[in-house]
Amino acid sequence: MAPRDDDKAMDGLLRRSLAREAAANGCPEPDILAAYSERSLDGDEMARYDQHFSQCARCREQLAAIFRAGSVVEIPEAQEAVAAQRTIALGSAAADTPKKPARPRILDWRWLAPVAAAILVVVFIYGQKASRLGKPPISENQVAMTKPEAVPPSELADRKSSTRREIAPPSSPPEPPAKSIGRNPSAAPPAGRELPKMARNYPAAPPMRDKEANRVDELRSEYDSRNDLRKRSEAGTPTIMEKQAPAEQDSLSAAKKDADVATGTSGPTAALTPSAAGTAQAERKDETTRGGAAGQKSLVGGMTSNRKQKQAAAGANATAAVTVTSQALAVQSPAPVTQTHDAGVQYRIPGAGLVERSSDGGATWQGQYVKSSAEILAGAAPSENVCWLVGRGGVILLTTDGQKWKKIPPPAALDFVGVTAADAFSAILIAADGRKFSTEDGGRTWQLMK
Amino acid sequence: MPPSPPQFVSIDMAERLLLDSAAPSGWNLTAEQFQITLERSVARRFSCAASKSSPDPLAVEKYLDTLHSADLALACACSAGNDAAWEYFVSTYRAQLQRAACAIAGHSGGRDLADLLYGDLFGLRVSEGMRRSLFDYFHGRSKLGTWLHAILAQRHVDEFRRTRKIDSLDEPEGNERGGDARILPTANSSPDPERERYLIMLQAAVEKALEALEPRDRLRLAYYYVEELTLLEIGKLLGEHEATASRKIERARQEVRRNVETALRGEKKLSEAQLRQCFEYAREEWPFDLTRALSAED
Repeated sequence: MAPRDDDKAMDGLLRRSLAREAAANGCPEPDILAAYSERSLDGDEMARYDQHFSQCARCREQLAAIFRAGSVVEIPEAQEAVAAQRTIALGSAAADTPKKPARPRILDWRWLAPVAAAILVVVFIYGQKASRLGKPPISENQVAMTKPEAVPPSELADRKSSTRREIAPPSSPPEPPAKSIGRNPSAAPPAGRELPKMARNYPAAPPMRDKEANRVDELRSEYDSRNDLRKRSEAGTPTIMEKQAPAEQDSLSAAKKDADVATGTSGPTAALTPSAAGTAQAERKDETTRGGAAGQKSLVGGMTSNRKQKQAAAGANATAAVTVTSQALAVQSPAPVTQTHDAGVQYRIPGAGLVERSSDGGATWQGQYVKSSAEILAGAAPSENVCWLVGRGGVILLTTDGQKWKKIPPPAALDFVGVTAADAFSAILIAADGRKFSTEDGGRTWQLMK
Repeated sequence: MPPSPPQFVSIDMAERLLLDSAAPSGWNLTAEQFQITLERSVARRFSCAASKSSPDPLAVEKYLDTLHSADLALACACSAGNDAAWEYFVSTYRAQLQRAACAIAGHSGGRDLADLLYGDLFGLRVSEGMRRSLFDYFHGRSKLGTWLHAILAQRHVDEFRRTRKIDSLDEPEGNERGGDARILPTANSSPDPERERYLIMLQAAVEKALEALEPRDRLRLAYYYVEELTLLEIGKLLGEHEATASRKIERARQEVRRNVETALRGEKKLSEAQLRQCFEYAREEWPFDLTRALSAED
């Protein structure tokens, strides 16, 4: 008989022998089965029940059913119909003609592993190329920086002085600075924002120390304003910056003319005036001195809409031959950039499902996919390879090697607006309603902090 | 019978855990009620009734800190019949329960399975003048959702096994001995008189080799060969990577095989040809438990 046939015979022997039922004495209750399947029993209990389950077909069937039920519940609603078809075929193992399991054989790993590795390499290379080529020149909410020209110092000084001299002051008084819309308290909805149902009935959060309270308030206002922005964008309501658009456009054209006059040139190589690129009003004055250096530096953006940003970018391109690449951007990221102790290593979230890591202080970013479509609101990186990210809908992500991200079960389905972490095991979450949760075991268990 | 006075959980501890659970005030859950629930959980964990010895207070405190207090508070409030808690429970778990039940028992059976559960959870059964809710058996050692899945799984498995036994008793006359005996004539009618002897030896050797395995290795093999779980599922169930599960299953399988061959060669003095013949017979259809079947015939 060939060795392969021997293997088949051995498989059959194992199947039949293991399917024998032990006496149903001492089978644990559902609470133990549930705790076992969550691996939350103590070590001695785990060993005891391992022993029992290895001999008890009834309990094993129950555990398999619990596992399959749990995995169906975890998957999204859209896949419910498909997943529900995976009904549990109990007893098929003990049937006289056992079905062949619909799964890859163990030995298949020998050829599956290299194939998977090759696919990974191809995907990685493709992803690298796509991230290099596919990024838009200026994405929403980003601050663009013009590429510095190689200008002799003498010419630079000339340009600087002429720009300072000839630029007319803005006709209208400068409006109050709209520094960071994300932190603008006026943008926050007054009350009644959507909070989880449980949270509405909770007692008020206990008083905290001043520093902590300030931090929470800061995070909450940021959260509120993000909410507001999102709602506005969903409803098509213009944001504060969009309302300023006409004024900015005027100032754009006026400043462009001024710049042309000032430098005596026109066309794409002309020096750019500070406000010429649709800059936020708040930064106009600052740029007059900074960016007035013969158009060496121009800021575009703020929290504007795509349309507005395109116009601004087009204006900037037309006047100053700006070359913008995402890697050369001075980024005001829509999501927080999380610093680590190592100044070179940073994390940021450019969009849902993607985390970027920089190991050179933000000059280049490497994308990492995460299994989450929720919005990330805050992060904390206690070391260069450990980073906690939190966000809406109870999303908690953790990496311990700077590469792979895993989802941590949240203490509750809340929106988390802040996180502080000491290492990969200890972290404190701050929820939108002010409650704080702590873990000391890497998120396996959470404690509500007083 | 009124509940015995609390011994292990102080009212302060109950209050603290109730605060940690962040139970809404609308549930009207008192610290005293929660204390009784916690007491029950501790008693069950440390088997106080059986051992009649008090557990170490530090161990009790540590145990209480590991409980899912929010879920336990919800179960406690639902058991007490609070409407707001019930409303919250239904709105949170209804869809999840339906999906889980359908995954366990199929679409048609799943709905019935889930619907029947609500009655027991509410506590339609009255024992000693008191309404007993199924929630009283939730001790907070797991998430409430997982516990509900376990209840559904247990009910379905037990019903399935009961039905299977009834089916086997309904077999035609002449097959009173059930499944094992039904296959026996095939075995007895074998033209090779050595066949039964070989199969009995082989099965005994396999069982001995399986018994010698670590419980966890045996569990892996059972999940793989009997429950037909995938390697990924086995890995998740046992808290290890699927590659680890695969490697360990293969190693356990080879160990069983090596031990079986060693036993047959050494103890039974079988030659290589006889050994091959054993495995050849094992490939054919043969009684599930030949040893037991033969001993029942005596």
